[in-house]
Amino acid sequence: MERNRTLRHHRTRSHQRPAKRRPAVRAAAIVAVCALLGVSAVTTRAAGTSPTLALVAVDAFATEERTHLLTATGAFNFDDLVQVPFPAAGLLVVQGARFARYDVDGAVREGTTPMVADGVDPAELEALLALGASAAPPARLVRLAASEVTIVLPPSFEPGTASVVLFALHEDESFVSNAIVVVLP
Amino acid sequence: MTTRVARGILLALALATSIGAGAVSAVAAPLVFQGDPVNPDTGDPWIVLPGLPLVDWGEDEKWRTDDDIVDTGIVGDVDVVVRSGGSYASGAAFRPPWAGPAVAPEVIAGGLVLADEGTEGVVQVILSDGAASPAAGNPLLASDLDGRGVVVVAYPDLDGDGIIGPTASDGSADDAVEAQEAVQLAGRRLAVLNGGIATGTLATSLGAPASAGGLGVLLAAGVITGATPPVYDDAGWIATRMPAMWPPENRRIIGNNPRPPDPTALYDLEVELERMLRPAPSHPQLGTAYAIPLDGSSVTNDVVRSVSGPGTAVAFARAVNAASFVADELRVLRPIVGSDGARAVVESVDTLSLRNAPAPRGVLLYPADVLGNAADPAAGLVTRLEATAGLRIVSPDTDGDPRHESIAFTAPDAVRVTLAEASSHDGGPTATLVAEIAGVPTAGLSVVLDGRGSTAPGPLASSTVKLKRAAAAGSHRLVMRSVLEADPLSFDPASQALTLVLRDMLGGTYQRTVAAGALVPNDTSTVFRFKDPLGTPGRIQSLVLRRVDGTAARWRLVVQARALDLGAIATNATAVDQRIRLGTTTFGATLPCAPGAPGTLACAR
Repeated sequence: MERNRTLRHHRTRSHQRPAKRRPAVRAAAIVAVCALLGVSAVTTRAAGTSPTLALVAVDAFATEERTHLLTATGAFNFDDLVQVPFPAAGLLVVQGARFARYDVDGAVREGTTPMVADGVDPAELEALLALGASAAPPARLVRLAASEVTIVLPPSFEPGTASVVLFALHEDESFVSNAIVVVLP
Repeated sequence: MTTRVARGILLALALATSIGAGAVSAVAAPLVFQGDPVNPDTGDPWIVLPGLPLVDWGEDEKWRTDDDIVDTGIVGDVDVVVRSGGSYASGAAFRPPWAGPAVAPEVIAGGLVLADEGTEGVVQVILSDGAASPAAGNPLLASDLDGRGVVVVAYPDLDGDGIIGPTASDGSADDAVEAQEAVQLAGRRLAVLNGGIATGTLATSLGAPASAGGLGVLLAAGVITGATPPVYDDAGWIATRMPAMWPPENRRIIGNNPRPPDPTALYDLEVELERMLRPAPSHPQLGTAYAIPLDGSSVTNDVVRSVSGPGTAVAFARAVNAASFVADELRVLRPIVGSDGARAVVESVDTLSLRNAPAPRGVLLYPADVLGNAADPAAGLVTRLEATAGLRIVSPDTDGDPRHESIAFTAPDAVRVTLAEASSHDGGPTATLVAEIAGVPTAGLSVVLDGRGSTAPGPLASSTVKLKRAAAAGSHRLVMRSVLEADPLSFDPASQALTLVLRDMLGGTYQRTVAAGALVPNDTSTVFRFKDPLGTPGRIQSLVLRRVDGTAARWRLVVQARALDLGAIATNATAVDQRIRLGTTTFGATLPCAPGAPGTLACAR
C-alpha cells in the first residue's frame, strides 16, 4: 500500500496498480483508470471474465456533527454489476481493527478484527466477509454510479486515517483493489 | 447487414465471388447472409448496418484515414431486429417498434441488483431474412447460429431531442453532447441465440424522473456469427442500426472473452470512441445517417422508458458546456430537470474552484436516486447545506446565515447554489459544502478558495528572527530572514503594502508597515528593496525581498532594522508569533525562541 499524494487534507489519490489474487485485468477499464490517472493507456488485452477493481481517489467530508461521508472514485465493473449479481462486491473502510463493509445491494455491516489491522488480504476476504453485524445508523450506501461509490460511515469511525478498498468475490475467487489512505476530518 | 463467414468456407466463397462483389452463397453461409454482398478481396461478407451505406476502415484498422471505404452503392439489409417488452411470439411477424418513450415499456433504473425498486425489461433479439417488405423483413427462425452471443446495448437520449446521435435539425452547437449519446451506454446485456431468437432482460443505469417523462432509451443489438466455439469470434458480426459504426473486427469489440457466451457472467465490451466511426452531420456522404430517432421509425431498433428510482438523496452537478464539451466514453452525462424546469445535461461535480472568481460561482443541486440520477424527491425531502469556514452560501439565502441553508424539494427541479469566499475568514485554502438529509450527509463538494478573504496566515517555509537589545532602548536591533510560499496570482510587491509583526505570548508587539509602492524593484521585478533614510527612528537599514528558485511562488525576505525599541517583547519569550502581510495575504508562523548571547533572543523554525 502506498500513499502517493494528498491533494487536500481530506482527499487522497492513488497511482498504485490494483492488487489482486489473480492478475486478470480488463483493457477497457484499465484504459479508463489510466485516463483518470493521467497516464498512458495500458495495452494489455482484456481477459474479460474477472472483476477489475481499481481505486483512484477518495474524498472525505464531515458534517458539523462529525458524521463522515466518503466518495471513492475508480473502476469496478459497474456495467456488469447493474446486470449480474456477484456473490459479494462492494467497498471496505478500515480504521485500525475496525471495518465497515458496504455491499452494492445496499447492505452495510461493521465489526472489528485484527485481520484488517495490516490491510485487507484477498486470501482472507471470505473470512472477513463472514464477520461483523449490521452497521449502526447513519451508515449507508448513498450512491453507486459508474465510477463512484459514496457511503456514510458508522459513528464508530473517528477523525484520523482510514483505508479504503474495493472487494469482490467472483466464481470462488477473491479480489481486492489497491488501498487508498484517507484522513477523516 | 452482412458479416464474415466461417473460415472453413472462405475458400469456396472466394472462388464463387472471384470476379467481383457478388452475393453470399445460399448453401455455404448461415441463412441470415443469403443474398448479402461480399468483399471481393477477402470473400467475407461486408459488414453493413441496415439502411446505411457500406463503410469499412480498411487495412489500417483505423477510421478517418485515407484507406476508409464509403460506398453508397452498397446498402445494408436487415439481419437482426431487437424488440422490448417481451411481446414477440415465435413465428409471428415483427411488430413495429414503440412509437416513442411515452408509450414504450418502462424500466426503473438500477435493475434487480443495485436498487431496491429497480426493474429489468425483457428484450428479444430476432434474426431477419432481410426481405425488402415488410420493412424489418420476416423473422428468420433458423438454428444455424444457435449458441452465438448477442449483445443488447441501450443508448440514452441525453438531451431529450428524441434522437440518438448528432443531428443538423437543432444546429451544430450541441453536436458533441449528442455524439456522447452514441458512446455512453445506459446498459448492456449479453444473451444467447437459440432458434433465431435471443431473449433476456436488461437493466438500465441511467434514468430520469417519472414526472418528467423518464429517459428515452434506444435499444440496439449485435450478434456474433462465427463457426468456432466457444466464442464464435472467427467471423464478423451483424447488428441492428447503431448510432455509430463499431469496429469491423471482433477483437476490437469484445477483447478476449475465452468462454461460451453466458448472460450471467462478466464479459468485456470495449466501447472506445477512437474505434468507432461517428460521422459529423456535415459529412459529405454520410451526414446524419447514423442518427436514430426514438419515434419507432428505425425498424430494427426499439425503445424503452427508463425512470429513476426514488429521490432519497441529493447530488451536486454542473451543466455541460456544449461549446467546449468533447464526447468521451469515460465521461458520464446525465439528464436532469434544470432549475428552470427544462431538461439540462449535467456532469457530476466533486470540486469547485473559486480561484480568480470575480463573482460567486454556482453548482446545481438536485434530488437523486441511489445511482445519482435526477429523481422525483421523496415526500418531505429537505436538505441542509453546511459550509465550512471560508465559504459563503450566496444563494439561496432564506435565513441570512452564510454557512447554512435548508432547501425543500417538492419537484425534481434542480436548485442553483451559488458560492463565494467569505470576505474575512480564518479558514484554510479549501472548504467543503456538505448536503445532509435528516442529519445524514448525502453529498459533498470540495471548494478551492481564492484566499483573498483569508486572514489565516499562509505558509512560511522557514524563518529566523534575532532580537538584540544589549544597548539602551531606542538602539535595539532586529534581523529577520524568512522564506514565503506565495501565490503568484495575488503576490504583487510592487503595489502592495508590506507589514511585519512580531508578538510574544503575552502580547508584546513589534509592528512596522512599508507603504504600498515603496518597495523598489529591479529591472526584472525579481528583487525588491527598501530602506529608511538615515536618522529614522526604528530605521529599516535594509529590506530585500528576492525571488528564489526561479519561481514567483517562493520569495526570501531579509530585514535588518536598528534604532528600535523592542522593549514590549519579553526578553525571556519562549516563542513569538510572526506575521508578514503583503496586500491581503498574510504569512505567519509561531517561532520557538531561546536566549542567545547576552541581550539577544533567537527564534527560528
